[in-house]
Amino acid sequence: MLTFNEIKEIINMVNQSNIQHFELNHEVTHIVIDKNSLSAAKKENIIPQTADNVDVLSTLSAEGQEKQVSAINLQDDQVNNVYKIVSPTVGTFYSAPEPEADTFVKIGQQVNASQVVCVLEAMKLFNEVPAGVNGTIMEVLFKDGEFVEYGDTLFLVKLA
Amino acid sequence: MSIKVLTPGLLTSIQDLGRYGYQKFGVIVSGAMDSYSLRLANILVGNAEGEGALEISLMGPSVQMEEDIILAITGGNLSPTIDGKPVPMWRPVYVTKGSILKFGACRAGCRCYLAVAGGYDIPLVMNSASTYLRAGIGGFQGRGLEVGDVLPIKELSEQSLRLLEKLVKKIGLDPFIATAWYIGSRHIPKDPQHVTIRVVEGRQFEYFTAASQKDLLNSPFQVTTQSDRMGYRLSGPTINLVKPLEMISEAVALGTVQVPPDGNPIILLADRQSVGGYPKIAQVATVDVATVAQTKPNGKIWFERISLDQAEELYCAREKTIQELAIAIGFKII
Repeated sequence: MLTFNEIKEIINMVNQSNIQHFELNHEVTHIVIDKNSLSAAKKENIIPQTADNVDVLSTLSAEGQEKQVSAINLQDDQVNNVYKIVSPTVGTFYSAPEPEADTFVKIGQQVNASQVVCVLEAMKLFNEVPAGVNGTIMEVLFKDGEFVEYGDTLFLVKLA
Repeated sequence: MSIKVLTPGLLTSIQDLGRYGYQKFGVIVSGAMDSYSLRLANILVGNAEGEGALEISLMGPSVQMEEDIILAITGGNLSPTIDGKPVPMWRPVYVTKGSILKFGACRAGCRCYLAVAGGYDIPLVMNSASTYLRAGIGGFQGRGLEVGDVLPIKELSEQSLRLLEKLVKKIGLDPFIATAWYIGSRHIPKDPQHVTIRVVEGRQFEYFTAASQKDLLNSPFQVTTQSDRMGYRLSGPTINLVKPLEMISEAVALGTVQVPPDGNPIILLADRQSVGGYPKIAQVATVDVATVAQTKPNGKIWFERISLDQAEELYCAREKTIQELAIAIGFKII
């Protein structure tokens, strides 16, 4: 099984080369990297569309953790209307205040700027993440228990 | 700086981690029933872990802030509100002068802890701020709080002052502002009719019948209304000795499960006597004493046997958690 660092190196090497499409099968790991729809320098403008336009990279680290990276298509008319709720910290993502409680928000739900959309657990403290804008929740990009890095996009919100 | 008691609630008293070192003179330990929640409440406001806090049981008081105050409420959810707005628990809250903190329905757990930054300024008795109600010593004049009581507050620690700086910037026009971060509260029982309490075999476990040993670990025991800070009287299958036992009184501990002649076990808690002559069938693991304390009368307890090693591991894990939380909170306040 490939280690996390090996996978990271592969991604970097493909990224820095002229290779446009890369596929690797190694034991249980299957990696697909497609550069045609992704401009590395313009990551900030990337907006997701519908599920069938999304090419998903799936990697498994040595500890069995899943890490999702989305390669997505850019659609001009959608660019300005969607807001990304970005993680203010590293931590573990939880969509509900407690294991069996209702989630803070659901897809399609309208939220206001100060409304809590999720909590991130770091060093045993839970950090509430507010929506930051008024709008409607379009997508949740993490699952309960997944590890989040600083700056990762957590939710997509259609601006009101 | 002080807070004023407008209504006292059912039983509100100052408790810390207990009065230790004097049991040999027959002085009862008392202290917080849920010491885990107490310690965290203090850490949240920048106090020393063992600082006295208000222990509030079942029906809470209403208190007015005579100055701007930083407080934290941990333990069971007794629906704290200020001006009708729910006050978030398990995190530091900056409350402005004149605000009145009220409590409502007991939604989870049984008792909560109200710590203020600086701690309550009351004289210590035998090195402890805990109230021992029966002897009328310690805490605020040796008793539960009453209407009109004014609780002075000591000076803030450096940690508390840093927290104050962070929060005061965000206050705006609201009566209170809380941090966006908080501590989890997993030890508060979710289903009061099915609370699992881990125990180690008691010193006289072998003197009980096999049937009773089995009953203890396989049947629910209801917490009767004759339960208080001294102990929780349970009702369930009667627990019987193999034959009558003449025991010389020996030491009992926090969480000891003793069985008087009527066969109904009692879990000894904060205001327990120092020695007991009843046989002891089990001992609640230290980490689960807080869970017992958060079980209301009429709640149901199921005992689960673990080894002493496991109990020690759980204890060490919890101490580690508390240390990690203290460090994490320290970073938040830098």
